[in-house]
Order: sequence, then structure tokens, then C-alpha cells
Amino acid sequence: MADTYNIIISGEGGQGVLSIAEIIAQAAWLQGKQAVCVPYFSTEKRGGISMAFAQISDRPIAFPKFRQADLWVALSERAVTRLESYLKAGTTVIVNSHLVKDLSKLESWQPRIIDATKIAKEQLHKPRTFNMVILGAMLNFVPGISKEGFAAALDKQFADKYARDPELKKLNQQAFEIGYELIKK
Amino acid sequence: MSEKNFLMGNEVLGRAARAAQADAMYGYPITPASEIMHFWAGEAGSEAGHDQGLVFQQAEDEIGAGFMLIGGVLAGRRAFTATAGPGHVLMQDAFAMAEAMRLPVVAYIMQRGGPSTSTVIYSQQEVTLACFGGNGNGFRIVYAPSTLQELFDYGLKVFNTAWKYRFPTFLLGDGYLAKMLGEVELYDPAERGLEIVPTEPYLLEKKRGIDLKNVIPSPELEVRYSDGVEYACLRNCLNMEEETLTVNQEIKAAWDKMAKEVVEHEYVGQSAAKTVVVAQGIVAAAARQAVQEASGSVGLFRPITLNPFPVEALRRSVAGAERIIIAESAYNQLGRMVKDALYGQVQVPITEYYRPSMSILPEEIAELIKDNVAV
Repeated sequence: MADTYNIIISGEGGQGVLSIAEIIAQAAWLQGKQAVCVPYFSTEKRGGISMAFAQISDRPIAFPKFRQADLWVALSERAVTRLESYLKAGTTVIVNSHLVKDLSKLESWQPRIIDATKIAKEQLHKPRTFNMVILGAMLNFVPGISKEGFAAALDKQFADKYARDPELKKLNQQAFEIGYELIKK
Repeated sequence: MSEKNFLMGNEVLGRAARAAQADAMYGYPITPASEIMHFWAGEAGSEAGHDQGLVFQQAEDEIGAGFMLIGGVLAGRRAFTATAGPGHVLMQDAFAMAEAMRLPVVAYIMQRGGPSTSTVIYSQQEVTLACFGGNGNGFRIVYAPSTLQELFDYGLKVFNTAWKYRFPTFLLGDGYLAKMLGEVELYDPAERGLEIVPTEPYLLEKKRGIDLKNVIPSPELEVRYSDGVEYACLRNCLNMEEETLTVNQEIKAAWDKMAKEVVEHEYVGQSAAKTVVVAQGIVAAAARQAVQEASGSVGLFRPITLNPFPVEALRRSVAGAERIIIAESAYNQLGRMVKDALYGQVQVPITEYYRPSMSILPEEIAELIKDNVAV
């Protein structure tokens, strides 16, 4: 229980919350860690709220949910309220400042702030890279995953997509580098 | 060749059905079980699936899917379905018919919130329904896997059990196991020395390895000859109460014989432990971790077959117990089975921890154990 790294992510349906959890869990697994993720699935769609749990450990993980998070990622205002109960002393908090304006509740956690929406749109000109910017930011904190290892894991996970669209690889790499550098510890 | 993969539970089950050489699926989509059907539709529509004659049929609803499944089995198909919650309720009519006629239908059932439509997420509230649903006596085999790996192991096994013993056989999972992604080792059953029990038609005038007289209750079977051809005539509609009694007695006799061979459980921890936790499915995975990390005289008893229930093994496991803890994400469904098995056998207090549709984490079980361990 204690040596498992717990990650929770929430945002609006369509922001790719589940993909973030899946990619990070699988990337950790590809680097030799045990990992599990599960969506909080309901009748989510665009306009709904979405949430996902991921756990990374050196040993098998028994249950896909947990009480408190080590890494807590809110991608929208509503997500903050939704995830509040998963905060503990020492939780690393990342927020997408484009949609989370009110940080008053989070002050004591010294949230890491990143406007991933704006970066994806204005800097990378591809709103769909939003995910990768957030993942880059998260990578700073997840134990056992190096940036290089993550890139290699992406190559495996996206092998089919990259084969069809070689530009995507470059774009993803750029996006997670930006996210990584902006939130660097 | 076996290989480790990072997969979603529902896909693991789809792959288990393939590895078990299932060749037909009839279903209707319902969260959290839908991806099993999606996977199968993909397989059936692929070139390999086409060449292998895989059947996929989405029915108009679960009533239709349940009876299509019966049709498939009568024709000798290694057939299955996948469902959850209200869909599981609708399939009970067909499942009861399968019990009545000893038809080895297979179902992967992934429990969601209840009662009624409720949530699409997680629960353990379909235990009673899976084991005892329908207007019969619960003559259906129910396996409860606790991990993603066991989804594969038991997803394979259910087909063999069904066809070897000719009872409806279900794998009872839940929404978390269905939707979570994690590490699973997939393998070819032949590599592990697992033989595939053959299927054969009930209808159609073909050669059969097992005489239907040894399977179908006698009042339901009439063999007729015409022009030197033998015709097996089956019915599930009876005229007399005595016939119905005979049908149930014959099924019960076969059930009792099968149960001894099929019943399965897991025990973890100190033998003759003073505190014994009883849990099933994914809650047992949480309990396993809690018990392994606990100090003191603690054990976990986990029924792997919920039906037939491992009554004798449970009695042996709690023989030295001073306390029993039952934990499940439902009110008193596993609990009722445990207390039924232990009636008149033990005089120790039972802590009943019932959390319908909620997670039960390893920490929660650890807290229960701490409160209860005799100091």
C-alpha cells in the first residue's frame, strides 16, 4: 500500500483524462514497473466530468482504487471539487490554469500551474497535444519513469499511429518536452 | 507462446474466449461488459475469424441474446455471452432453461451498481442472481476471479467446466476488473497441458461422444426412430408434478457428483488462524494483500467457486478461528452463503462489512483485522 505511487486525474469529458492515465501507467509498465489504471466511468461524454486512477509500484497492485493521491491533476474547475477528497499532506498538485481559475482551495499544496490548453493551441497549433503537455508536466514527479524511457514507451504505444502519421511523433515529443520543462522541479 | 501484455480486463476475457476455442458469441452491449463484445465482433469480422467460422450476433436485447446462446449450444457451438446488471437480469429466463436441460452455456458477467439501472461502475450485488437466479434451484457453476490474470485463467476454464459437466457456467467479475488495465500473461492452453473439452450438438442427428441420456433429465428426452434414423426429441415443458420432481432430482444427482470435482477455494495466511477474513472476487485481492501484510494470526478464505460453494474447506479453515470477518461490496450476499455453510459449526462472532457498490481497499481490511485481532 505505502510503496505504491497513486495518481488521480480529472477534467472535462473529451480532454483525454483516460488516455493520460493509460499512457502513463503503460509507460511505467514498459519500464519494468507494475502498473494499473482504471477510469471512473459513468455516462461521460462531452460536457460530463471524467476521472481516472493510476497506480505504479514495484510489486503487484491488488486494488485499482485508493484513498489519497501522490500526484493530483485537475484539468478543469469542476475537477478541483471532484478531486478534493484525494488530497493529503505532500500531494503534488498540477492544474491546467486555462480552466482552473480559482486556486484558493489549493494554496497549501503550492500547485504547479500550466496553461496546457493555450500551449497546445498557440504554441503547437494542435489542440490534441494538450494531453502530451500535461503528461510532460506529470513526468517530473512519477518515480521510475525517465523522460527517455517515456519517449521510448510512446514509440511502442503509438507505433501504428506514428507509422501512419510520422509528424505526430515529433509533435508529441515537442509537447511533452514543453510540459516537462515548464514544471521542472 | 506465453507473453505478458498490458490489457483491459474485458479484452483479457475476449482473448480468453479465443484461447478456449470459443466459436460463437451472442450478446447485447452493456457497460461495464461491452468491450468483450466489441473485441469478439472484431475477431469475428477479421480474416482469421472469418476463416475459422467465428459467429457473432448482436441480439435485439438480452432476452434474445440468452436464447440465441441456447440455440448455439444446442447446435454444438462453443458459445458464450457477456453481460452485466439489468442485462444479467434479463438473461435469467434463458439461463433457467439451460439449467433445466443441462446446456453448457457460458457467460462472462461483470457486476455493476444495483438495484436496477443504478450506476455502470462496480458492485458485488449480482452474486445471488448469478448463483441462484431464475425459477430453479441454482444449478449453475459460478467462478469468481480476483485479478486480471485470473480473468484469463478462469475465462478459459469456464468453457471446459461447462462442456465437461454440462451445466451452465459463469465467470462473475465486476466493473473494476472489466475496465482496469494491467499486466496479464496470455498463453496457449496446450502449452500448459490444458486439454480442450470438445463440444457436440444436442440436436441434429449426428454422432455424439456423450449419450444425451446421460445428460438431459429423462422426462425431457424422448428418442424416436424413423427410417432407421435416431431422433432426439427434447422438451423443457412438462405435464406432471412428478416429472418435474424427477427432472430436479436427476439434475441434483449430477450436480452433487460434479460439485466434488469442481469446487475450488484459496486460503492465504496462517493455518488455523484466529482471525479469518472471507471475501470473494476483487475484494479478495484487497484482502489478500491486507492479510499478507498483517501481523498476528490471520488468514483469508476465498471461495473461487461461489456455486458450488466450498463448504467443507470453509469449515476446516475457520476451525481455529476466534473471529470471522466477511467483507463484500453488497449487503449479505456472500455473507448469506458463508453463514449457511457455517450454521451449527462455529460459535464465534462474525463481523459483517457490507459496502454495496463501493470499493473495499486493502487498508479497510487491514483496519478490520486490527480491530479484531485478539491482543
